[in-house]
Amino acid sequence: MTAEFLRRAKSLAAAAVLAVVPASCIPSNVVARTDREVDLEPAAVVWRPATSADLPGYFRSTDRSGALATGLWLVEYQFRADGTFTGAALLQGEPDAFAVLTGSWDMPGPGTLVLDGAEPAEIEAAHGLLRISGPDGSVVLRREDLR
Amino acid sequence: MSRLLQVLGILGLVAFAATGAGAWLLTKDQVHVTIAADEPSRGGTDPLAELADRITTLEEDIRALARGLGEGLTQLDAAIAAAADSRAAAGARRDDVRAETIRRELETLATRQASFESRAIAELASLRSALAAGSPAPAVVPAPLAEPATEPVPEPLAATEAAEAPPEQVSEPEPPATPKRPSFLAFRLPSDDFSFDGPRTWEVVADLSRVGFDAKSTLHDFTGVTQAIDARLRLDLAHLDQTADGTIDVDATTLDTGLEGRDEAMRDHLGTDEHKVIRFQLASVEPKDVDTRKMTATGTARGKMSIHGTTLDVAMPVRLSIDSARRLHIDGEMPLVMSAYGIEVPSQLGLISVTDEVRVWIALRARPVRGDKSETEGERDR
Repeated sequence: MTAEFLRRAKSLAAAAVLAVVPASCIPSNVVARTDREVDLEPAAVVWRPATSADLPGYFRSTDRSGALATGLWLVEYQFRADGTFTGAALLQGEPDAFAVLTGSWDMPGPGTLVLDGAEPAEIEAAHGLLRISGPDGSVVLRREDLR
Repeated sequence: MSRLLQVLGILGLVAFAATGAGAWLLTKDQVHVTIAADEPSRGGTDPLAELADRITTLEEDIRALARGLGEGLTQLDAAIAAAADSRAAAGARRDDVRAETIRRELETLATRQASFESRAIAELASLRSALAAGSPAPAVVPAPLAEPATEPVPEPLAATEAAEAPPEQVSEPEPPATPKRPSFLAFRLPSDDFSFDGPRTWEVVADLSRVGFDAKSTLHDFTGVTQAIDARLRLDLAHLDQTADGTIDVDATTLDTGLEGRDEAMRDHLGTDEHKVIRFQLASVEPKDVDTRKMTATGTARGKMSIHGTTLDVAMPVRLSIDSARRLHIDGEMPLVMSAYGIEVPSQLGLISVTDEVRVWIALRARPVRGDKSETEGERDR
């Protein structure tokens, strides 16, 4: 009786150990308080003044800041190498509405962009990214493939 | 003497009386005496005079009416002429835009035509001289077509729309509208109507938000997190005690702790088949520190939390701030006792157990709803 009890106790203890050991191997994965927010900025983006070689292609905004952020949901451009572009902006309103335009772009110098005769803007580039900044804020655009 | 005078006097009186009697006899048939009431005095109303007065007054009124009508017609005529001029001006502006576009296209065509002609003349002269000299004709190298100095560029849509908008019905001439210069993005952007002050509806951007809990267990601690959040809040950030309500819904089936087995156990304990949504119904915010210049605020959000079919009052300290993209950040954290909501505390063989109290936290980003109206569904930029 005692031997049988001891045998069962050992089995139970072994089962408990087997249950506990895998669980004890799992590390803690508590998210730090500072990491709770969704990270918006790609890590360590190094911006440089853009040149005309950075523009040709299709770009879509991923973020914007400043006063323009209250009126603009997104903007996308297709810049062509011949100095023309077409663009669409989803503007906030009642209701929201797309504005579409076609025009010409010019870069009087590195880091300066003029879109269809509008006021000059600062333009920077990083890997696959463009950032256009002006007095009303800035937008970050990501190059995407048209499939 | 005196006697004589007396006689003459008597004779005179008799003669006067006889003359009167004779006159009466001669005219008695022509004189009729009628006894009637006194005629109206000079101060009474003379119907004829009154009628004449009325006619005079009417004549004056008619003349005044005619003058007024004439002036009114003159003003109406001037207004009609002004409106016609305004419409004509608006139409002329629209026509001017179209004419300018056509003119530029014609100039482009003319430039190209001139270029073609000059090239053709030059090449023809070259051929003639070569033929006259008896040498083989030089190879014709196509010269690049001279591009026009001003390539026609389609007008931006906004400008075209503005030009083709129907003219307004104006009662008086308006000064010509100054077109708003496009932003550096080339688009005409809506005005910046953001304000920290005043009630505003905020819609949580799920893609940029997280809700989770931190739990402690016997052997290790872990976090459960989800981005499946549907929330809309109405807040006056500068006066949180005046306007603060809304709902935050979280899909409990999407809570992820990083271990599939643990997630399944958690869903069992939460009874997500029956109670899929965890809901926080915001009732009020008690502000603590509000800085309208920095656009930040802290306070305690109060409301009802519904988990596992049980609803309890809760209070969560929160921090609110506006980022550079005019998004509202809401961060908060509070303790939550699982057993209070009827949730069985997870345990394995009684050896590994999770503490009954977990820390629930939120890290939300929300966008102001323009005009406080429902927004279009679908994917949006962040």
